[in-house]
Amino acid sequence: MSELTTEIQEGLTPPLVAAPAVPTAPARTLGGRVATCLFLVCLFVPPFYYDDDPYRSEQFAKIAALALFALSIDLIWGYTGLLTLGHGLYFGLGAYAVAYSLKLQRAALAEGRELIAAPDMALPDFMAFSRLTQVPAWIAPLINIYLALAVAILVPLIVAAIFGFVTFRLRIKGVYFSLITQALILALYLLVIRNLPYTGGDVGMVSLRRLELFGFEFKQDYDLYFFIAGILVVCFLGCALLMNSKVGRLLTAIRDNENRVMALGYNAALYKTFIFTLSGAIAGLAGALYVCANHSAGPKFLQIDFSIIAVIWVAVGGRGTLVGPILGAYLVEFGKILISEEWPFVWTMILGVLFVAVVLFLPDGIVGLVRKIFQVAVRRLPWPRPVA
Amino acid sequence: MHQQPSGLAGVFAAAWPRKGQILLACAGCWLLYSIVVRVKDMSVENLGGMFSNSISLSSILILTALGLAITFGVMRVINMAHGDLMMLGAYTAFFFTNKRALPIVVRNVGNWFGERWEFELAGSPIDYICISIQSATGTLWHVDLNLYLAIPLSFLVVAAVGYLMEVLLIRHLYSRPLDTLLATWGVGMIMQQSVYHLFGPNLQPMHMPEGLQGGPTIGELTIPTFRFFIVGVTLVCLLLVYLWFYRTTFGLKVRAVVQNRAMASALGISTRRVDAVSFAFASGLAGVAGCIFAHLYNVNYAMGSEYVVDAFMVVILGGLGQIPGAIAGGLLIGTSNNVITRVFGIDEVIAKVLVLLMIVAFIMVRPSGLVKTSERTYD
Repeated sequence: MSELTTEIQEGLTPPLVAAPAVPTAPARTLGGRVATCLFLVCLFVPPFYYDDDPYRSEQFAKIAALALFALSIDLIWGYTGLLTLGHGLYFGLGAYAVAYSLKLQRAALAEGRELIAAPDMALPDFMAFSRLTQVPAWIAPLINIYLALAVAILVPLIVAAIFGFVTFRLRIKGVYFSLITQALILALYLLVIRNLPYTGGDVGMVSLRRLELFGFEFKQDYDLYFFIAGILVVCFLGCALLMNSKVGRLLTAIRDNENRVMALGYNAALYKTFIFTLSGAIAGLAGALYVCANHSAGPKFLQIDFSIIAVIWVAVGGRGTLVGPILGAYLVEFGKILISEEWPFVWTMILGVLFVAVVLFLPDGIVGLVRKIFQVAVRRLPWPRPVA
Repeated sequence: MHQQPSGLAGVFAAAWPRKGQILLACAGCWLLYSIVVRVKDMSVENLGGMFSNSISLSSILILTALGLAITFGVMRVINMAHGDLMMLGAYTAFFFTNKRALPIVVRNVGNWFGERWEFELAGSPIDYICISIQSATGTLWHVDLNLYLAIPLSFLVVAAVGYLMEVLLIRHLYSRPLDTLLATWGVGMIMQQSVYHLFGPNLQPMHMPEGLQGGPTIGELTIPTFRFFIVGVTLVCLLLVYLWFYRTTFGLKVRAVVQNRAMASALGISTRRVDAVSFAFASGLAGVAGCIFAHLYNVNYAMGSEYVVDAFMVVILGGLGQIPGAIAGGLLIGTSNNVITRVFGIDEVIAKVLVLLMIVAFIMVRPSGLVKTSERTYD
């Protein structure tokens, strides 16, 4: 009898409507702000800790770029509630733009030529292998790193804007949105693999030149880490400002109940397109920076796994918070490095278990857990309380 | 009273609200015309090849998507581990029909403990189980049970895994559809790694029963018998699903739960049991698909993530909530893939990209898919 009752009770809860998410406002409390500032300062600690180890510095530079990518996913998933499974598309576009630049620069330097686009400019090795006689006209100008960086942000931005505009105007959301993004990235992946002369095919572009900006060459990954982490912090602060503004609150409202937002007279599609475009641009920037630290670019970024693992960083850290994705990316990726060094083959298994465990037991991620512990501590401990 | 414009202006005014549909119809007609023009010049062999390829690819896609049409289309669980369940089916078939499988597993398990465990099974490498009736003059009747036995075994094993998945994990996530997606992807990764550690990176080729080798020839074209077998298996699976869904009491309960969970529950249907058994059944179908795949393609531990996107495309193209939708989606995708490569002479990969983009465009314009179900839900 009791079993029947529980079943009826469970049956009565509407199954297909998403459970109302706990509104997680950006940290507005004093404690939250102090913790956030501390966290941002901590981002600059790892290179000091490992300053005698160039190998670790490189890994941390990569992780910082991935954290930026996680941040871009959090904007669209954590705040706006649109789970994208193909965000690697924008990451990959940014990555390939900068990779072309660094590859062309390396080829030009090897032949002792100037770093300018010309009809007879030096051919990168993968183009030479596939019997191209000259660099295609649409790739050649990218040898200018500033142009390449601009392209790395603008192309993902434009693609995201067009895709977002069409998708959100047609009111595609939920599972459809996720699967469509996945289909798109699969299409791009197949194209990139197929066009070996232009993209390097399966291997991509390896052994790239080091990044040089304004006459300063990032010879050490130590310097590069500070550069990338600096951009990460700037993006973080920008996103924090945005999410604390009215736009941020509207996006959260769209996540929690889109129909109500529209009934109040807001153009939800416009807001969603905006955040998706911004997210695409940040993802492109992240890809560009990642390539600088990784010294190679390949279709790995366009594989479905890569995008989904990026989603898990956000989930582990805490969706709907800005600290969460960065924390998640750092912890998961650094954990991966440490564990893989010790036991080479268990990482994927651990990642799978992590996916399941986080979804089941920690839907708000580490940040949510810390918050909860903190709140409980505040309530339980005998603080001198202000008189209400 | 609103004045209707007359003449050409009237036609325009009437057509304008349906401009999207008219545009689509024009594009469709043009496409059909260009196909017909090219098909006229094609040889019989080429056409026959195209036809048989289309049918077999379609039935493979339908088989792949059938389980997903139940879990995703009907139960609304986004099971990203569907591809990995197929992989599990393929490896189950390998394990039970190939005598090299058990030694490989034992050796790999031994490796974990740093020991060397080696043994071999006697007999020729291909016939693990067979039935043969001998008489004094020779063999009267001989049948390899390899594939025929592997299909039901794959179904059962993978269904059991699916049942466990539902009970342990998915049951707790029905209210959070996007989270099931992440959790099942994690389960898929666990399955992939377990299989990798048990069997090693690559699956050895499977043995095809003798009855299914070769095939009838038309001119220079040979249609493998195995293709007919695949179509047959797909039809049998479809029939099973139909009977189970529409001709049994349990199917009635499933449909009741799908239509209105709360009401069904109030009438005394155990929704938990319905969910678990439906999920297990759908997983079993994935196992059957994997078993067929193992005999058709090279199979490895990571094959699941390759095929799961295709399967999802079939299901959303067909429309959620319907088994006929999956059939329509599978037929359309399988045929258009082949038509693009054969008729227009476009490279296979580019054809796949084109089909993917067309599906995306179609879903954007018509999210309800090919076969529409009327639902009364908020939003």
